[in-house]
Amino acid sequence: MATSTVDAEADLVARAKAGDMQAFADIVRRHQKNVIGVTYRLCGDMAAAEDAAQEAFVRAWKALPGYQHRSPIRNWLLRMATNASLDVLRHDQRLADLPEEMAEDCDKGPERAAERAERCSRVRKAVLALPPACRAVLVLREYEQLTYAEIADVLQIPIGTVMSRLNYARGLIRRSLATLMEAG
Amino acid sequence: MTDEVRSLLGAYHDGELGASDVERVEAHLTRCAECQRELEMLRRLSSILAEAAVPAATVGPERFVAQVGLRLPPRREVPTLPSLARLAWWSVPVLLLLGWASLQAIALTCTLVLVALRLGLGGDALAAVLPGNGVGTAVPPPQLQGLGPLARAALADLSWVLPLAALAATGVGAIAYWSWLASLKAVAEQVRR
Repeated sequence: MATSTVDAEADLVARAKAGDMQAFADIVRRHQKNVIGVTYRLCGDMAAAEDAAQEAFVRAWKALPGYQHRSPIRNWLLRMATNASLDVLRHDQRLADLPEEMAEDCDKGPERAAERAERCSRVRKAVLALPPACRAVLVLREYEQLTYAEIADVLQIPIGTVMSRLNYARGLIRRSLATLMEAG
Repeated sequence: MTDEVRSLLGAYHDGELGASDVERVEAHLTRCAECQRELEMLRRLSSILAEAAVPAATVGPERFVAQVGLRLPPRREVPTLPSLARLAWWSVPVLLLLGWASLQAIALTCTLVLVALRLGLGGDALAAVLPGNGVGTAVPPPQLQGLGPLARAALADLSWVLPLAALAATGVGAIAYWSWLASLKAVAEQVRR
């Protein structure tokens, strides 16, 4: 990330900490895509994901005066997003069952659209079938490309736990998607 | 060896190994087909996972920002004192402490002097005018003959007035300090809210 971008974001954070709502709105615009991406992959439902993402930003606003710059603001927001998503999952058992309509949400290319949609749906179901704690680690690693240290910081767990949960999650998903893995 | 390297393959795939471990794994991979397959499976898994893209949000980006804005509680502006007033405010406990210490030192010194004189350790200059010595009618020493009767009586009262004054000063200082502490807590509570 260019120094000027880092400085611009540091300035936004400082102003938001001081109570500038416009600065916080800019932070939301910069990070909403990542945050919604994480909440969607954890919750499996876009409406629930958007609600969890909004809740994450509200929590971030309240906790911002205590933000100490020990980790990048992006990782700090992802922590809020992960916790908000896990709270949603705890309170809404309905989200455990993936609706069939999700298959239509996948990108459809001009060819083999049904097959692609089917693969997409199976992958999503496999991820959602993971225990929430392992799902969070897998999502942050595979989709947000966070390092083990960053994941440990976001989830407030030791790095060893990150590695063991990731290995466990990958093992479970490989068994769920065995046929896809063999097909290549 | 294979099991040990296999346990490192996930971290190798994620770029999390140190240089020496990377060398060890890569050296092993050149001669172990099983670990090569395992690594290939990890790469394929990442590729398959990446196919599950996030669908379009139901709410547009600006509307999302607006909805977040509506849910944000207002942040209260904490009134801040000008720097000089802030300095004066923070110096209150320091001045209270210094004042209390000074008064205690003066009271203690005077009390010790009076007790010493009473015991006859410091000469007879003041002992002659202290009550309870049965020397109220004694002739005051030359240094004190110039003092009026009121002044001599006031001096005689010092033996019990000083400790009381020290006690009163401690009480007033304690009340002033706790008042300052209560105001500090009120400000901190306002900031927290």
